[in-house]
Amino acid sequence: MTMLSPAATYHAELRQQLDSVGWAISVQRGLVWLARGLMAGSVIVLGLVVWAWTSDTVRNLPIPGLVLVPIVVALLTAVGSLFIRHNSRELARRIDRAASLHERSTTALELGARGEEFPLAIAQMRDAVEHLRRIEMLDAFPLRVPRRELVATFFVVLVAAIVGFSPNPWLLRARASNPSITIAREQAQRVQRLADSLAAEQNPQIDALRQVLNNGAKTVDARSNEPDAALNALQDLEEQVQQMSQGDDQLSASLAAIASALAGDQATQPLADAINTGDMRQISQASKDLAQAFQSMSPQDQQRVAMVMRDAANRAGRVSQSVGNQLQQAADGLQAAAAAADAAQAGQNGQDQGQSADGQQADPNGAQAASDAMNQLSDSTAAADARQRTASQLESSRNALERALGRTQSRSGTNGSNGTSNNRSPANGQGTNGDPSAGQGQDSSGQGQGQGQGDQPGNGNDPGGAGSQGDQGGDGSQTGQGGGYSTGGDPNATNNNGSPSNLDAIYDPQQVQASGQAAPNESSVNPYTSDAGSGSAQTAPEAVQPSYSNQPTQGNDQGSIPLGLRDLVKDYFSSLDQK
Amino acid sequence: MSVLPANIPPTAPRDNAGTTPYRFIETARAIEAEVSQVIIGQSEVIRGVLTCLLAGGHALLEGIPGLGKTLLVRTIGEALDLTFSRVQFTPDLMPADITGTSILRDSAEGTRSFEFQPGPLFANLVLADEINRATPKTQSALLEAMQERRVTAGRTTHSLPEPFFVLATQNPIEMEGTYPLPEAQLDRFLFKLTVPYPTEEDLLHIAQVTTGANMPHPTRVASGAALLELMHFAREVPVAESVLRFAVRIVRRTNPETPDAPAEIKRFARYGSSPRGLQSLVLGAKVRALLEGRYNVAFDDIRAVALPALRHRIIVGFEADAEAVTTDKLIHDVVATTPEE
Repeated sequence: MTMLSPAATYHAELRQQLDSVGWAISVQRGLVWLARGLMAGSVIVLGLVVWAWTSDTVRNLPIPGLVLVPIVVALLTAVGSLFIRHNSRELARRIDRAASLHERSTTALELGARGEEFPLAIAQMRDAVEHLRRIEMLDAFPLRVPRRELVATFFVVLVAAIVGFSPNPWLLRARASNPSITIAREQAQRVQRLADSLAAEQNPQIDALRQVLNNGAKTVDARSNEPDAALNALQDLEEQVQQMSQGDDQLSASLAAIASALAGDQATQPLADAINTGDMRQISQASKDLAQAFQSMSPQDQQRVAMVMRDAANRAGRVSQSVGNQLQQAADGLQAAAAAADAAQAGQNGQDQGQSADGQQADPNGAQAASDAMNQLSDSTAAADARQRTASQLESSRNALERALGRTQSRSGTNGSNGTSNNRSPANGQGTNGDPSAGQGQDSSGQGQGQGQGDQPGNGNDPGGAGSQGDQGGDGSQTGQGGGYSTGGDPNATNNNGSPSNLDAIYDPQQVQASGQAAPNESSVNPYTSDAGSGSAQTAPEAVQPSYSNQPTQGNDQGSIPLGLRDLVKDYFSSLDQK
Repeated sequence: MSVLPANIPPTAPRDNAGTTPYRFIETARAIEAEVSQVIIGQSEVIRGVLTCLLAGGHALLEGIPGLGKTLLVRTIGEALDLTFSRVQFTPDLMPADITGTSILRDSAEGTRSFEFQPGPLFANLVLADEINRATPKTQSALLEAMQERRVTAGRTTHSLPEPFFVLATQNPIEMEGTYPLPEAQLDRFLFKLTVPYPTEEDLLHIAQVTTGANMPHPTRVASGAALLELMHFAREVPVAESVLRFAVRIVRRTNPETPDAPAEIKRFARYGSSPRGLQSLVLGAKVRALLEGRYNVAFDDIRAVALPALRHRIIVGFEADAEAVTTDKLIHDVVATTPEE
């Protein structure tokens, strides 16, 4: 065994002590670099925010990503700092300073490296080693909170937040000089709101639609500073939605066939009525209700409804195989449930109660299958409804942006051909004019558009084409609006040909005496109003326009107007304001 | 008698055989303690003189009369069991008066021969009081003896006894009729120590101690041989290269021609320290390290001895005099601005 000289022994021990110094320094430095990384990450975030601020895409910045960037950078720098190696000389110098060793370690290290063996050298090395042994490394290199870095980080984050939340004056100026930017942003927000309004259901079709809308809204918003690009993005989005809606025509046609089949039975009458309304939402709800009703039907009712469903499935299958299959499954399920219930009934009559229980056990299974099938149909109609509303709003947004950009080419022809008109009047004997032209809004100006659906004809928003729409919309004399949108009115009303002049005339109401007989177009005495005074009954549109626009605007804001119609209402009254 | 303070490192060896770091420190502290009994206050000056002795150098003490310079040197002589002589320098003092001279002596056989009669320099500890009052010729003879540690009389060279220390004093006032030491000769002193005026407490203590019936007398704690041993031992104190480089940088930066010298040095200093200044710096630091209970030189040791080791080696110009810039201030600047690494 080789005995080490005292100098070599002390030197080896000294190096061992210095290794622990290196560990303590690494930990301390890791903490510092963690804070520095946090600061560097914050600076990166600040850069991103400033970039987004200048390009007006702050809203598109993902908040979790902004939080993650500093954390990831901090961790990377901290871990990276642990891999930095120290040489012994540097460690000796650091510990000498940190523990006030007065260069004991440095000197001892040199003496050991040189292999000095004279008495004072050995005494010095021993002195250094024994001093090092007594040092608590965490006392010499305490884990201090790197306040400077953290304060800097705080201010960087603060600046980033201020920048992120403050408006960009250059962009504001640009928007002021180019209103189409603002309109493009508004349309992006509308699309986003539309996406948000799609209820979070267990419906993959609606989920897909929501995803498409979310992405589209972000794209449009990101390009809002270039309205042309935003318009292109909007058009792309519209095309995507149209592609998703390709099977909806078949669904509508098959629903019409189903309605006629279901109308004959009391149990399925609500669904038939809902289908006749043409409102996919109502159809969806009625389908769900029917699916729930299956559970509580008697076997006889289930048998009867199953037959009705089978008939509906046969009719729908000619138009849409998938819808037909769903109804067929529902009918099969009900059939099975009814058969099981009959068997149970027989068992109850002839045998013990236990068999009856077994027989009834099959009953809910069949009904459940029917419910599932109807729920699938409900999902399909709900998705179709969502796509329908989406397509309508996207079209409205595109039109608004096109108008802002001064693109006035007619789209009526295209939209007319896409418009659907379900002439369901023969089925329920209500309404008379299911003319598809009612919904087209086509006129000489060529800007009317919309969809007519039988007895609820038309979402035309063209001012010029409104008169004819009102006339064709069933009760046009009462509800036809000069702005081109007609709700169609009472389906039971006769198709009175209203005078176009009635649509454009706006009356300034005059108060009549309490004792007088109020004519239909006069207001009665109202104690809450003062004397209206005299004057011409007819007034200029500008005088009443604000109050005229007020109610629909409030309705839009309060959500009392159906979502699919809000944009039409808004566009219409905005166009009046521009006039 | 143990006078070791509490800050003696615990690693000091317990065996006292031979010269060990522990014994060195013990002896040095004992001397210091003995001197401090007689000299009230002036601990820095006492430490400086002791450092000078243990480093084997000569010291120049500067201060107004009555501050105890002469008493200090004499007390050290008594505490060290050294031969002590005092020379009061005056303008008419001749070299032979301090070095010695050959005199004609009759032998018992009736023959006559010249015999060298040693002067006061032939002592272990020489107090050259008011050295600046002697003529340059006498000063030169003293300084030559200090450097060479021998005296030449006629054609015979006589070695001075070991150890040999010269502790010179000079009065900064009453400059009339004095011969300021030339810079080249000042360089031969290891340290130049400034004796400050005592504080109020020290004066009170001085009055109490020195006006009583029993004056304290130092006891001898070390012989000349032991002192020589300690001097050799002190030279073995290891110095880390970084510390040595620090000392080198300080000395270099006192020179106005050095590129990285401080602006004050470039403006006010005419000449910087010589390499002998570096030797003084390192030697003084080694002794100080031992006195502080360490076996190695630290940056702080270099800083602590920079003033006494360098203040008489930097020659300032008239601008410094005009603006009352002292060499002490310049050294402070140099030390403060010199990086350790």
